[in-house]
Amino acid sequence: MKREVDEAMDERLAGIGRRTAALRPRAGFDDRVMRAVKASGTHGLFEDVLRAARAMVPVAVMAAALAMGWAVRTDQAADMSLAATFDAVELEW
Amino acid sequence: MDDLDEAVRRVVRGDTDAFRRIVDATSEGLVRLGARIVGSLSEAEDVVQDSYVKAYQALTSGRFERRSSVTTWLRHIVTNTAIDSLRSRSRRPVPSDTIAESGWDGEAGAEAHMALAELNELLGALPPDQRAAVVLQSVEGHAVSEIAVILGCSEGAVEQRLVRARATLRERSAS
Repeated sequence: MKREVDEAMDERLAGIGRRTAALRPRAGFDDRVMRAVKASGTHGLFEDVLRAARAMVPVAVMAAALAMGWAVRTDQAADMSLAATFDAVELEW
Repeated sequence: MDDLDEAVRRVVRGDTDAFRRIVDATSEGLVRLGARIVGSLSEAEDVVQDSYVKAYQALTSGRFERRSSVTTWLRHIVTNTAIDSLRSRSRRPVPSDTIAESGWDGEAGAEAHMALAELNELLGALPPDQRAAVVLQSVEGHAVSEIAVILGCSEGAVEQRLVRARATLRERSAS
């Protein structure tokens, strides 16, 4: 009984599927969609900036690492030259 | 489908006009699916338009992960948007279609309009997620595995929704 009711329901729904196969959007729908899509793009300036910023993250990380390396090397060179100067002063005495 | 994949690649690269190809190729089937779920052509057009905007934003922000075909992904978005639309119905009046609307031209259009009203009446008592599952299986003819992908849930969850929906429909037909 339960199975028969389900089968009858499936039959009815499949029939509705066939009868609604002619459904299609009204004329001009695709143009309307494209207008909405383009309008959504103009509001996305913040997203554009964010996307560009996100793309720059690896470059920024690389630049930061290079700057850190340069700073360490410069600092070491400065230490060595300071030490040399100090020694020189000591020798003069 | 290759044509659609190419259009997707162009949209991702920032070519908005390429999105038109995706809309032209898919709008008819998506509006039909939306109308069968929400029971109204005009509401389905709003649902599908919102879905296309979501899809475009997802593509341009790199959120389309290509786990399924473009068509299945769009059906997923439309189905979820249609379910949300059904859920929000309690807060606004239900739109009704009229045969005079341009989308209902001819005998086939009038027949489709009547069939949609019948479907709306038949599935009106079901919660939105169960209604979508029934439409996808019994009206659109999808297998449970495909419905799971479209609804974004497990096959078990789909089966559960279908069992509950059938129980409700059986009760209604008995009364």
